[in-house]
Amino acid sequence: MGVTTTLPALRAAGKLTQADLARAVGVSRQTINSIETGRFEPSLSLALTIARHFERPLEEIFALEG
Amino acid sequence: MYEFTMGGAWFKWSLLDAASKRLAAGSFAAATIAAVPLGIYVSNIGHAVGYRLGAAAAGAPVERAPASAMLAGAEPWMAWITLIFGIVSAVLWWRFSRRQDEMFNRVQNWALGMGGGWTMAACFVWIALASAGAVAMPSTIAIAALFYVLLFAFWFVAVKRWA
Repeated sequence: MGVTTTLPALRAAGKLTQADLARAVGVSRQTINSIETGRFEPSLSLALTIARHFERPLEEIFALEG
Repeated sequence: MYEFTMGGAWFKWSLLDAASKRLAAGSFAAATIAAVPLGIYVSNIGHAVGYRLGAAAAGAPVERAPASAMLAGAEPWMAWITLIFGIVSAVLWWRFSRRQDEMFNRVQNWALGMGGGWTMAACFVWIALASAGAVAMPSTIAIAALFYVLLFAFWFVAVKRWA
């Protein structure tokens, strides 16, 4: 069971680059890219940090597939 | 913060912060020093193999390789160099790892776990076969070499999977 994310759209709406978001949440740009392409599932703490950055509920950004 | 390049074989050095650069450079330097005695040992084996392959007469006595002849009788302190600088390298790498994010540590921990697990499995099989007389008992150098080969193989698999 994979995880889908609306992160690319949220980031674009906030006019942020992957590097900007990476710096803001304390991870590498490569990690943000891997999350957005679905190759890497973030830990709960990282997912919550991203949700807090965008001031959105966690379920709005990450959801289980299917 | 790091970024893998070359499939995980290296980092984009310019993206590392100053402390990470110091820790990584220190770890690599210490590992290089630790590997020198092993290099001498391995080169001696390589020389012996080459000599046997090229020897005109089978069973001719094998001369020692120049490097090992230079350090003949010095093996104990060579082992201490490998041990001490190996520990220094490992500690510096551990401190470098703590500065990186969860994806880096997930790649590293998975590679270490899989590499260690498969090395243990291979050793059990190898020792069982050696006990049955089918093969020679594994040497510690062979086990260490197997672990490093598996560690790097699983590292590349993990980078390809997640990064």
